[in-house]
Amino acid sequence: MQRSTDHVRIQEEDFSMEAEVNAIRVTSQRIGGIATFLGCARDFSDNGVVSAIHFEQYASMAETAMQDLRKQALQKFDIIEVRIIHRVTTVVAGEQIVLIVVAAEHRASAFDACRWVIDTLKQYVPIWKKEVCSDIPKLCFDATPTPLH
Amino acid sequence: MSIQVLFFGVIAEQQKTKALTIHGEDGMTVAKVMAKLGISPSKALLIAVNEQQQHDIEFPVHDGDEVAIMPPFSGG
Repeated sequence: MQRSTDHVRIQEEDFSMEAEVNAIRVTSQRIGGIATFLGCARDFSDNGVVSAIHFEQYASMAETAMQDLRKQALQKFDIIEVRIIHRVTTVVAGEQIVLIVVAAEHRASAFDACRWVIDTLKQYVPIWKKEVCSDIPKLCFDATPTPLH
Repeated sequence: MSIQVLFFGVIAEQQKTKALTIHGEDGMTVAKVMAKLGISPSKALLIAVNEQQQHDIEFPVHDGDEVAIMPPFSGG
């Protein structure tokens, strides 16, 4: 059972970026900077106009991979905390998909870790997207890794 | 022995199911599971056995194992 206080969550419901940043900010007064990455659903792709993106996961493996990703980030970078939230549902164009929040004493570590976490998540966590395209009467399956934002 | 096979993404669409059980003899490997399903080994496919990703298609599978056949991840 995932709770909003958990630092790693895969969930259907939307999240509040402000609430998630504040939840990390109050964990330590050593924090000097917080870097964030917010991934959103674009309304276009190589397949045409995209009205929504459906996400599915290999649930048990994805949760373990996300927990491992957080542990690796905490070991690899000089950071204080990291929070990773990914939605797995049908996300309408313009809506939020994924949030990475990294707190550190100094900004360089926070930025570096934030980029590493989102880059590694895309390669390491078993989540897939399927675009719902408005201009053709079928779903467009994207079986290739998402280009880095 | 029986092995639970899971499919995700475009693989599930191609197989027209998300899960099935196959029966085999001792000495089964990931490659033999894929052969039974008519799936050709490909670098574009990712494999997990009991939720652990495996890169060797000769990896052995045993009675009760769960084998996942997955396209490249595309979250984020």
